[in-house]
Amino acid sequence: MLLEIKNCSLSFGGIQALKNFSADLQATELLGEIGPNGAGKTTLFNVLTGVYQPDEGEIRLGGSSLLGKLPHQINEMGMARTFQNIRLFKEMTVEENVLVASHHRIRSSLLALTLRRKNALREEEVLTKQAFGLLDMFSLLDRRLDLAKNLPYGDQRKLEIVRALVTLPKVLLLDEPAAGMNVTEKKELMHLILRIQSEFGIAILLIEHDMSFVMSLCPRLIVLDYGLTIAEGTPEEVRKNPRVIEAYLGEKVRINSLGG
Amino acid sequence: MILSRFLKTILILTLLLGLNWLFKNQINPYFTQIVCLIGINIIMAVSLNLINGITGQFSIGHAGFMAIGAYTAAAITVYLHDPVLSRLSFLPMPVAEGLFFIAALFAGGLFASLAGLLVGIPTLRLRGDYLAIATLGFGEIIRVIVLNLEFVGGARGFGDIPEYANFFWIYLFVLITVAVVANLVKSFKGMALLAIREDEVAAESIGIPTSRYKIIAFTVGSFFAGIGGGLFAHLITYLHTNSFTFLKSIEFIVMVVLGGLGSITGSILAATLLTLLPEALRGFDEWRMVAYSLLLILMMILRPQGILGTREIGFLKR
Repeated sequence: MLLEIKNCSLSFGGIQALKNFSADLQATELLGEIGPNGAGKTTLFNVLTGVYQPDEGEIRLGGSSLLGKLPHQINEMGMARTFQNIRLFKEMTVEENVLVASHHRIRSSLLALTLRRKNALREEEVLTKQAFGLLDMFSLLDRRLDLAKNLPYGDQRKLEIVRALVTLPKVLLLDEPAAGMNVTEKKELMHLILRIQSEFGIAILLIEHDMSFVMSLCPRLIVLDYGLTIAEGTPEEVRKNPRVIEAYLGEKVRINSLGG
Repeated sequence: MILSRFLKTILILTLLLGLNWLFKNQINPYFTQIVCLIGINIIMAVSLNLINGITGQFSIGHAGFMAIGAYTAAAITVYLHDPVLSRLSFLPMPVAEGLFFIAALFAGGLFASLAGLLVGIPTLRLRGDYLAIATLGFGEIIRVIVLNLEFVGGARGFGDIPEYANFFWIYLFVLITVAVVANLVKSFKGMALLAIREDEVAAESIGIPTSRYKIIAFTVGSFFAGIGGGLFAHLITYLHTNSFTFLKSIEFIVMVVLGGLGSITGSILAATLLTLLPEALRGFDEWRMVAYSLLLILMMILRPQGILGTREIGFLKR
């Protein structure tokens, strides 16, 4: 078990964002997280990456607890994420966005790098090659000198994923990666995600609103509503689950669909 | 033609020495003084740009770091001149004085960077306006402390500082400052500073320890501000805390903003322009502050990103 989330709760003032939430993620598993707006999906990501500390509960990555750790430490431990609203470094180039993410993989000190010592330069060279390889895989290499803010929307989403991958995570959290993409881009993204999973051996937890996307991609899903898991299972099982239908479409529809 | 680093260094040093001789012997001293002041202001602007422009932290007490560097270096050269130089009598005088001067400058830079550390650590969590107020307060605290230190002159000022600073020393440190800051920001780890400016949350999510890097920016920036202060002290040979008020900090901010927050070459350009401007307005002293304020206002309205924005030109072009 790579990622274990046990009984996590988090409230903001009077609002309970997560209520006794538990979930598991195996290494190289692809898990989809769905739920209506405000269900707590992104909050879960924020708790996992250390942006918020849960009021209660435990989170373990590869056996080590993530509680009390800072976001950059959690990234070093192997968890990377993308953001719902895309948080690229806008005034930096595509290349720079990706190279700066190799931060915690550099052995040379800041001093050695500033003095342009041979070993430091060699490390930068190696990391540059690797970063370019990733950019190429995502068809972003020829745009590497463009400013991130000038990329088309779909490419910006892809760039954020590349940036997260450069940190060599064991777990990748993708927050609505397909948002705003057209059908072709979504197909391409699906292939890329599967490729990442197999080629990099990474576990992926994916938040998505596009049902057909997430159900054709993920073999297992968890459904959140009001900070709780209300269902878990294969896409088939989840699609038929009355609680899920009720959460998304309201009680009337559930009753109607049961023929009552 | 690829020159080895060693050869390049020799070339640069020779060039600086040559220019130094030129300015000392062939060019009128008033103009030489201006050129030297430009150099010092470049060091101040570039070091402030590291904190404000590149890392995006709102620091408005830079004159405080300059003051620490100035008074520390001056105190050393004034009070320790005889004891140190008598011990170095086996060296030719220029060499001994040169070494002594470098040591005094570095001490000034070191103390300034310690102050940067002291300011940086507690203010980390502060955002924008609050950080600005804290740094403003710091600048004033320094000024008032120095004003009350009798052994550096107090209200009378600190005079008879040996005139060690000349074109050579000043522009040597200009080159060092620019080289260090440029290489720092260009390096993969140094890029973290830009990332912090752009989006701190995203920077943390890719493994950048943002607090640590903000402190690094403050410490390195204040170190060079201290060096700039030390050079200033040994150029003007007389120090008074009136030279290190909040207004001085604002002058440096205007330089950084005018040149473009985040552009090193922009800071160099703006520092040059804004050192020359008061000289051009020499007959209109009262209008200087009006001119500065108007310039800042106009820049914010017409071109808030400054002359070069975040771009670099020339040899620093990305």
